[in-house]
Order: sequence, then structure tokens, then C-alpha cells
Amino acid sequence: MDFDDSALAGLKDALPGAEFRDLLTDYLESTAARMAKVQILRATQNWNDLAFEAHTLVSTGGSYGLVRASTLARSLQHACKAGDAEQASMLALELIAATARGCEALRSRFLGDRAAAA
Amino acid sequence: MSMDPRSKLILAIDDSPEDLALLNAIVMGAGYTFVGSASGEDALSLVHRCTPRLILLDIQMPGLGGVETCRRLRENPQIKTVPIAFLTACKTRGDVKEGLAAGGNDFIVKPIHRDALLQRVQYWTNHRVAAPKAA
Repeated sequence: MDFDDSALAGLKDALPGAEFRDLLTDYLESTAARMAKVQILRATQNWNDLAFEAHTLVSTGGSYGLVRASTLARSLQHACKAGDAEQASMLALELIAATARGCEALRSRFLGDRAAAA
Repeated sequence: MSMDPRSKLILAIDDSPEDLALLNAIVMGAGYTFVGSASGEDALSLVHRCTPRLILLDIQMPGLGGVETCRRLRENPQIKTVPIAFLTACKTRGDVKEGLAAGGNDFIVKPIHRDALLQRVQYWTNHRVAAPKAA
């Protein structure tokens, strides 16, 4: 599963609509920037920094419901720490793809047409 | 009897802006007052201006890490009885040992789950911890 909406559903009811949308919009923007960074770190084979970035993505992905991306980020972190370049390189690509799918599902579930029109 | 949550200030220290924003939304959404800090260094300065009711502290941060931040926070007399809960994406036996030795009281495993987090926040904001005994 790429996206689990239960992570955010409770919060949606607890926050004013505009604040909830702003929270998700900010998350989507920062995640896009993080994926660009993952691509650069992979291309430059900077496994140390990629491990640190993956560590952050374990938490942020899972917290916002991107369960598959969070799982892949944990595997990526381990591969980077183990110095397994081949595995890390492959996992980084999988992470980018799963994050894109997860973000799209989040956008569709909680932001609807508003984001699509933006 | 528990107090109005608005009178309870929660300080979260985390280098991830996404996690800080989510913590802010969850905690404020439940009626508490929230202040976020992006680094241990900033938090050490911040607690001289306000005393939180609970500190949520990320373990793995660039610069001053969570465990060292906790140790230094405990040197501040105003923070000695404030509960400190570590936030960690990877709780190891070593983390727990080090964290408790540094003066931490709890570990909350990331990803952040709203209901589980609020349970811990509610518990710790109704408790003070004992000040460590003088050596």
C-alpha cells in the first residue's frame, strides 16, 4: 500500500480546513525538494548523506501516511549504512517512485480538485 | 483535575520541518500551546525564556544530538522536573540506555501517530518528574 489515509484522517477533523490544507501543501512541497535531493545524492553516490536523508524520510513519510515510502526509506538507510551501493541505488529509485505515488494519493484524498487546479 | 490544555506549553525539538509542522498541528489541534525548535542549540536558549510543561525531543539531529541536548537541558534548574520524551524513528537498546541516563523519561517511536502521541502528551503534561538527586 502506498498511502494510508488513517494517519491524517483524525487530524483533518481536529483542524480548521485551511490549516489542514496548508499543512499538506507544505508537506508536498518539501517532499518534492527532498526527492530532488535524494536523486542528487544517489547520482553522486553520497551514501552518508543519503542515509541521513532516508532516516528523515522514514519518519515524515510514515507520519503523513506514505507507508510504502517509509518502509523503503528504512531499507535505503540500512543499505547506505552497510555501504551496499547497488542496493542503495536501486532502493533510492524505488523510494522516489513510491513517494510520487503516495503524494498523488494524498493529494487526491485530501486536497481534491484544489491541488489539481493549482 | 487536569488544567485547561491551553495553559500547557509543549516544546518540540526536531530538525525536520515536516515533523515539527505535524507535531504543531496535532498538539495545537488538541488545545495545547506549542513551540517548535529546529535544533538542540536553539532549544537550550529558548528554555531560558519559557518553561514548557513537556519537551518532545528528536534523538537524531545534526549538530547537537537529542541525547546531549537532554543532558544540557537537565542542567537548567527550571527544566529539572519537566518531562522529556524522546522522539525516534529507530529505538535501540543503546538509545534507551543513553537517553534515560541523560535524563529522558519516555520514548515515542516515529512515525508520529496522532492518538498515541496525544495519549503520551496528556499523561506527561499531568505529571512532573522527580529532580535528580545531587551527587
